[in-house]
Amino acid sequence: MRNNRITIVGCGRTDSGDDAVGIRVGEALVRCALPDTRILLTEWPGVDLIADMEGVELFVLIDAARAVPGHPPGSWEKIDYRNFSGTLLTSHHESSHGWSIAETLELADRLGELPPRVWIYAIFGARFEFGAQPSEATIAVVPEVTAAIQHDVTQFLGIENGKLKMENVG
Amino acid sequence: MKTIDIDVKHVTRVEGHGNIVVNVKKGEITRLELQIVESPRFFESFLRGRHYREAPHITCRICGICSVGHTTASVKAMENAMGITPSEQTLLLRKLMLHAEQMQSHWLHVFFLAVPDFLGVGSVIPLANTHPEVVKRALRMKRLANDICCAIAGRHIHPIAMHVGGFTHIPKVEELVDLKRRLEECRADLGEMANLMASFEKPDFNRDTEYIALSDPNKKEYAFYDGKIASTKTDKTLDVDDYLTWIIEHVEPHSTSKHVKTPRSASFMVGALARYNLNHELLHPAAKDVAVKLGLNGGSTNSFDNNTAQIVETVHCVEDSIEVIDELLTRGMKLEPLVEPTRFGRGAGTAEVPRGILFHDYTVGEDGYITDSNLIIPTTQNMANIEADLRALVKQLLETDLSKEEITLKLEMLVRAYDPCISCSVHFLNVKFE
Repeated sequence: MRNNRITIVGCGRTDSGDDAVGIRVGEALVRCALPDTRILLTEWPGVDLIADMEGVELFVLIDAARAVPGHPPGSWEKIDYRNFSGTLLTSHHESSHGWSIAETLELADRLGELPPRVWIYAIFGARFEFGAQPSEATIAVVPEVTAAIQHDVTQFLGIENGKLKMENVG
Repeated sequence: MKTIDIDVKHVTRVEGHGNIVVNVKKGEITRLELQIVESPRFFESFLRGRHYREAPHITCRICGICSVGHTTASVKAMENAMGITPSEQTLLLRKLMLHAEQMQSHWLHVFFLAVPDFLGVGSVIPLANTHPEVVKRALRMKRLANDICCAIAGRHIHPIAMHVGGFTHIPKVEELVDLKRRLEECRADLGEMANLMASFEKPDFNRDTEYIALSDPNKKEYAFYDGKIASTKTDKTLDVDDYLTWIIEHVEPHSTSKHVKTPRSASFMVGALARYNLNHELLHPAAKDVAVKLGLNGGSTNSFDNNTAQIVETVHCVEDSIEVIDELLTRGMKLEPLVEPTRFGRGAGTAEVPRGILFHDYTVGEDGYITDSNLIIPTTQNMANIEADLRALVKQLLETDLSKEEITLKLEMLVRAYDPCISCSVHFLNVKFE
């Protein structure tokens, strides 16, 4: 099966507080019906995602990130992975259960499987305990992040004023 | 007379977190522990009071790797407790799912977690540079196994269509035809991987061990889905309902995982090597051929052979999956209603999951709600044996000229050979901005 030009992956666990936010945004994007776009929701952004990168021009990941100074709960950041000067912290390859997005992207890159463009939407949260509810601040930002991704993706596809430029659609 | 202190905090490339602590003074082991430092998870407690239909979907969350296995053992235990006989189509679909899980788990473990040891790299990440074809092949194979689970039960982990009494979804004919084609193509990939495994030199280590696995009393099938409990230390077999006669749990202070013994042995091993030792005559001929190529003999007491047995088992799973798909296509499939309970009571259920025999045991009240439960996972059963193996291996290695670092690596490799699944963890992104 041919992959679409764009794959969007909402990552996280719905039973672990703010970790659910990537899934929530992914669910909201499903309702947006973006053209030529495949949307996946996953609890385990592991090596299997590499197969979903094949032939894809733009790969979008949405995931919760631990809040840090300057990035409080409820804030978010778009990361252009190929031009990112910071660091996606890894689990040091300790465990396949602890395998992180960072390792999946690094492995894909080394195998030459990383799509030309990779965007990560990191949504900062503070509460990740098993059984916790997502925090209000993190959930409140879901519509904003959804709209931002919808905007960025439609721009990428060459859609203006809601109308698709057909020459850009593969 | 060596004096060595080894303290490996978090053995890498296993599922979950455990530590190895070894203290040797003047050639004598004064302390040896495989410390399991993760929190207990209390699934048995919070199953109580839940409806029987929820049990498979709750317990599959115990593990993201063995979620099909937990679902299988759970539905079997419930069906045993409630007098449900599933249809022949249901049994075939469950066997196919279980094969797929063996494949994806074994390939993940062998090629992503264990092979880096033999190729002298720290993890699969640098392996992508030194041996990209190995990683790409493993990814392709694992994807196939995932897609089988997805086609049958709706997603590749945590199956949503697999229930007590049957399935609420069946695969399309064209999906099965395509999966069969990919399984046939996978033979070439698996052959290349077996050639790679044949080039590795396994550590020379043997210790007399009791092996326990399911075994088909009719000697027709290599038992994954069903059978009686068998041991290499006795000709007797045990009905699944009586598992507590042989599987005796106890608590060790340094471990949040219980240890388990049998009436015959202070420890025993479950998993691919145990299944192989007990049932290798029932493997598919293609799997037997690979076993010969890899030098695996029935009766191995080298725990490092567990990885070899895992590869042999996946050859069997590929071939048997093709046969199961053929049977499903020949019979024709239809969506069947779930079989309803005929009584309520207590029942145990087992499945051979990637890491060994898994026990689920429930008591269900007349209202359909669970009043008691007991779950014993394979890694729990292996814990005492891993420690016993570590103790024997340390003694053996102390007689060599190996450095502390080399001894440590061998001990880690031994733990990894068991493919232990210590726990699951939450995934979130850690970002450091510069």
